[in-house]
Amino acid sequence: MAIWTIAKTTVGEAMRKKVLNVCLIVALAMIVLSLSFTQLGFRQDMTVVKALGLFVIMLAGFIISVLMSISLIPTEIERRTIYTILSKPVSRVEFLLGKYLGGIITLFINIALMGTVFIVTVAIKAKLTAVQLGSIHGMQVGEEVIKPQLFDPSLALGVVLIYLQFVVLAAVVMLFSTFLTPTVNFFASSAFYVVGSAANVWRTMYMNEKASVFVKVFYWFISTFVANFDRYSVQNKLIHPEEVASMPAYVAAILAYSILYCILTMLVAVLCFYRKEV
Amino acid sequence: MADAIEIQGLTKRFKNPLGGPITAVDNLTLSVKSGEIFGFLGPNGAGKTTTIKILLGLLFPTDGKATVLGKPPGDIDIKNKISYLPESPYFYEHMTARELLGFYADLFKIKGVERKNRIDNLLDQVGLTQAADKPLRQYSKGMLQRAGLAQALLNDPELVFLDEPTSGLDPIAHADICNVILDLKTQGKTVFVSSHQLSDIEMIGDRVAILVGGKLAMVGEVKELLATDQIEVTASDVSDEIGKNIEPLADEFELHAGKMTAFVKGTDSLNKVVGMLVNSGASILTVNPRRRTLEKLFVDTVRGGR
Repeated sequence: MAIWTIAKTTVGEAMRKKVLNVCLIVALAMIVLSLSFTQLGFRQDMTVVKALGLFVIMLAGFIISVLMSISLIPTEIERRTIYTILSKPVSRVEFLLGKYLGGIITLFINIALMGTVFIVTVAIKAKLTAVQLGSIHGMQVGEEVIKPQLFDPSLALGVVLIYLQFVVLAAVVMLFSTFLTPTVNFFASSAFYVVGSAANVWRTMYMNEKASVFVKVFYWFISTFVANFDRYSVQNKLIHPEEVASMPAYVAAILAYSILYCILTMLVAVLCFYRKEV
Repeated sequence: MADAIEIQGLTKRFKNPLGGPITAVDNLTLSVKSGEIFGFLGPNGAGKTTTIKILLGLLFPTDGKATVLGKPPGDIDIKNKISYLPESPYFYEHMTARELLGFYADLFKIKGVERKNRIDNLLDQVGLTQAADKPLRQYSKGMLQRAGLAQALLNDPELVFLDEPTSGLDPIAHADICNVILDLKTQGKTVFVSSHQLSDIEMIGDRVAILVGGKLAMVGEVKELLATDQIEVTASDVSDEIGKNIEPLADEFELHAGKMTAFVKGTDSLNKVVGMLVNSGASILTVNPRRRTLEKLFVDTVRGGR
């Protein structure tokens, strides 16, 4: 109950942050502007619109996720709103989880909005292309070529996976915010994301038989404890689905990984926050 | 009567990266009785807010212990029975006062009709009914303080912590908040109030503690602390000759244009002074026990403690 009450208030506060709203508006504008790519061939144009859209959602999701999450706890302490909340019958665990829940709901609203605009943009692009192809090869040919592009469920799946990776990142940022200042947290979280996005590189280096013990231990640590954001890089897989043997199994594995990683991260965050002086 | 707050040997040191640890509260021992208004006084940086935050479970003591309504600070059950108004409270600005109280009511799990009635009554009690649906960002400092007081009374608490509840308020808001505090006492609540408004504490407080440099410099009942063994006698139509006779009997004496003020100690001296005045035909205006002000006591204590 307290978790939900705090989460609702967190969403109300976060949705009013100008910096996040500006980021969202710029991202939406970039997605819509991708319609202007008409210089290449039909398939290349569609690929550019899809790849650019997913990239913009990912970039905006990253910025919103980090900027929002780094301030969720410190702002409450700085503005002293936390005093009147923690002096009520609210445990520190409920407070922390409520802030996190509010954060990922805000993230959901932002990414869902970008995702919807993205999917609509792709459909519009397909329709415009159909008209162009129809004028050259006849309307029937145009309709047949673009039919699979009008609504592509794999794009929605791509947006969901982008959301999942930032749910994980938000948990990490929340953990860092229990003991780091917002500025340090920004750089630490960004570094964490970059390192996590190159997880497969670290794994390859770890598997290299010629690597020293020190290198192996270092890379084992990184590949074990840093979230593997590389798993969520599905742009190529979505644009070329033939590369993935079983998409449902792939998505289920990512979902399970995300939930487990978030639970463990928030568990450590709770332990850090439990004795934090505010 | 049982103690609402018990503090024993409470010490709080903060780490200081530029030097040794800073001791904010130093071996503090005191108790607050149920049903009293307890004034917690001290200059800036004396450790008052740190002590309150420890009692609320927001900070953890370095040493010593404290209990609030018989339980350790931060106990969830106890939090249902206490409340806190921080100094210069800040709330979510996008909310209205009604939404703010609704938010806190949800945290207390107050629901339905009771929720609505309590919120309406509190808005009325603190004088915010007219502004109840305005966003808090449009509120003045006094209005925010009133909203803060309302949230502190939402759970009908047994023990209320108020940190500078009247600072920066206009006289009307000031008087209203003092009246609310007195009402709480009438209802049998315990009020732990930290304030620089010494005249308020002198007027409404039962007991006070003065903290200097984190240490307890003085604690006791307001009446006892401010009482002296001197009696103030004022009279008019006092001749210079009678004045010369009275002056040696008084600790302090002043005579100007026939008006006399004398501070005498003990009943013998008082009887002699009053007798001389009556026999000389002077008019006795007042005979009162002399009372120090809390401000004087505070200044003397703080200067003595430094």
